[in-house]
Amino acid sequence: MIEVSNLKKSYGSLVAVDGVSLTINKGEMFGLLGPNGAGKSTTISIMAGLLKPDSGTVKISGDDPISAAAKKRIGLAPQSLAIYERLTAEENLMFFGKLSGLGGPQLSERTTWALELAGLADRRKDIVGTFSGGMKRRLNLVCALVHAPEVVFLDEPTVGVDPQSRNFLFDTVEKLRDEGLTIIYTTHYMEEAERLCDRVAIMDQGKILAQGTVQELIGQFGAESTLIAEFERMPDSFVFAGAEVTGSILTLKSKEPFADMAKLAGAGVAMKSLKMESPNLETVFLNLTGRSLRD
Amino acid sequence: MKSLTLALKDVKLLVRDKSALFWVLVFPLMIAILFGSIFGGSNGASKIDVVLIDQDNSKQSQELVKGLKDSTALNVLAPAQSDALSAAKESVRKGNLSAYILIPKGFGHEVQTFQYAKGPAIQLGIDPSHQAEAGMLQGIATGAASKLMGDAMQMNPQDLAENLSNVQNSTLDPARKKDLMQLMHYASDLQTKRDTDPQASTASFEFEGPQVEQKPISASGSKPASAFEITFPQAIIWGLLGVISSFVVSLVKEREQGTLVRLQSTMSMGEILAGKALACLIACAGVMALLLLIGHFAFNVRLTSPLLLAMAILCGSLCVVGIMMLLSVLGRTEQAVSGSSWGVMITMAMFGGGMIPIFMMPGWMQSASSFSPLKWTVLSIEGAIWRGFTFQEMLVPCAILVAIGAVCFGAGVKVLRSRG
Repeated sequence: MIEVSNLKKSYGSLVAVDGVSLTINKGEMFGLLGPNGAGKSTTISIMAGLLKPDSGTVKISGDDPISAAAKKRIGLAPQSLAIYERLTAEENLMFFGKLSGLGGPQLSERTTWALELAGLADRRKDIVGTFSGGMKRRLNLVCALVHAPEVVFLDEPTVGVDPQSRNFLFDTVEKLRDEGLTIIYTTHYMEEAERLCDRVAIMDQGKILAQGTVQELIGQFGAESTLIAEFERMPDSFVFAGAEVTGSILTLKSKEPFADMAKLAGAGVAMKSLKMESPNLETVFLNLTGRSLRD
Repeated sequence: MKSLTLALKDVKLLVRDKSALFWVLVFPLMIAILFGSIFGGSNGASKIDVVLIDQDNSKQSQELVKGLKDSTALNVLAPAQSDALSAAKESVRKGNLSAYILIPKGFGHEVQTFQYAKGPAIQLGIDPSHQAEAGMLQGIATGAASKLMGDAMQMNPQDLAENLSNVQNSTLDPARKKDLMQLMHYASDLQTKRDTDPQASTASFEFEGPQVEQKPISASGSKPASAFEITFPQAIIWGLLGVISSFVVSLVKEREQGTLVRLQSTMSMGEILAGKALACLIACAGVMALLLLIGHFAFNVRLTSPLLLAMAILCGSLCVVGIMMLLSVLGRTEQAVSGSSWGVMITMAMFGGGMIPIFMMPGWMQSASSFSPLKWTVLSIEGAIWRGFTFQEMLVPCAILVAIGAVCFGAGVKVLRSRG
């Protein structure tokens, strides 16, 4: 569906995208995960035909993204709220629908569908300026879907959204994924990527560091789980390879956490509490870059 | 088609922005009405200029002339020596004169024989759009002529007897002659009784008064018929500045709020610029047309040549579109664009006749005003409403406007493209 080959884009001396190559399949939900400034937005801007790369190519079903044919197949929900506050929800949708070539009954039908998807059907005639932040986010999302695109780019769609609206957005995106829409989703929240994406590419400083399914990435780069135990008693002669003891807290990195838990108990460590931290995309990023995603 | 959709959206946003609408429409209208009223609505003069043509030159007509000259509301001018009536009609038509009053030959005789209703009427030549002045002049002329009749009723006994004899010897139809004889006897008796019994003067009678006929003369000349014909084109300048200030930040706003990215995902930059230009063009033409229509229907601003006016509106709008495009690239933020564009616009308005009418400017300023595109906008509109421009005369300001618009638009697009 989407073939990205060796994309490069610089702004003066700043290299924003540095040799990015990706393949995204039809119906797939693909996540671009990375901290702010990693080059995610520039990458999808090039993929959506908004920016010209310095070098490299993008093909959407074989077409250049700046071609009229590809533009019709693309939907874009930018990171900022790209909607008009002095228009109503319905007027916004109809405006963007018309720009994408819709008209007549089809435009009305798609507008109604989008309003229902966003949960804004009862507010269709209201001026957007009167909406809450979450409602605006939902409208921003469905404005990208009104013309029934085959591919949709969602650039950090949950920025500045309250938890309730965030869940609504997640449900909506999952529904779209289940309907077979190809979605490219950028985020710096690893929980979102883990929950929503079939495959994830981890980006930093304009480069793709790794890509694959969440499980593949964790298996490949997540390394070990961490066991953290608070103990009451410990044998005087206690020795356990890799364990670190600080006061009454024992920390152990483990590839087989359940086996090691049993070993600790067998060694006479009387535990008050035990916590196991499994590796996640945060761990993957940390292991790949030596920094946290939120740094 | 996409550009039109974008343009209609922008016009809708403008209409829904109450503060923008104030500057685009309400403020200019306030300026037009305020200054139009201050200048008096009629050339700024407190008296009505009229030329009085006395074709009768009788004792009675001279008395009427004296009565009209005594009116504090009139500024009675002497007619040109040759072909006075044609010259006066032409002056009214050109707007150089508010009206003329013609006292026709035979007026004096009719006054003597009390044949006002049948005799030649006093003619009042006036532009029909000057309803207020027409009513006032009709009243003054009727009043002065009626006074002549009243004076005739209060003649000394010898004059009265002479008038009775005039009526008796006249060629009037017998019924009217009989009425007049009765009326004059009644007046004679009344005068005799009044000498002995002052209360008798309260007695009254009815008689048909002198005729004042209005002759409509449509103005088409080279002077404004009222101060509003100066202030409404001036107001249009402020309306256009309001439109520019709204649209000049439109592109930057689209970029800052992120909608430009969404527009670019469906449209080319060329289509977006075309849409912005079209929206500005629609708004300019709409504001100009609306202000002129309000001026026409509420303040008698003449729309002498609708075709030339449409040409002036179109060319003025095209020029504004170009200026808007150039000003929109003066900065990269809304504040920068807005601030710098207002500086440029105020200077253009100052020299373009937005603050002081150009004909009231000192000489050097009038010369400098030629560099302001707004001056040419005002000139073209005035050309179509009261300057009586021909098509050829209109071509000059219109060509200048289109040329300025094209150069500014090209420069704006070039700067925008160079920024990527």
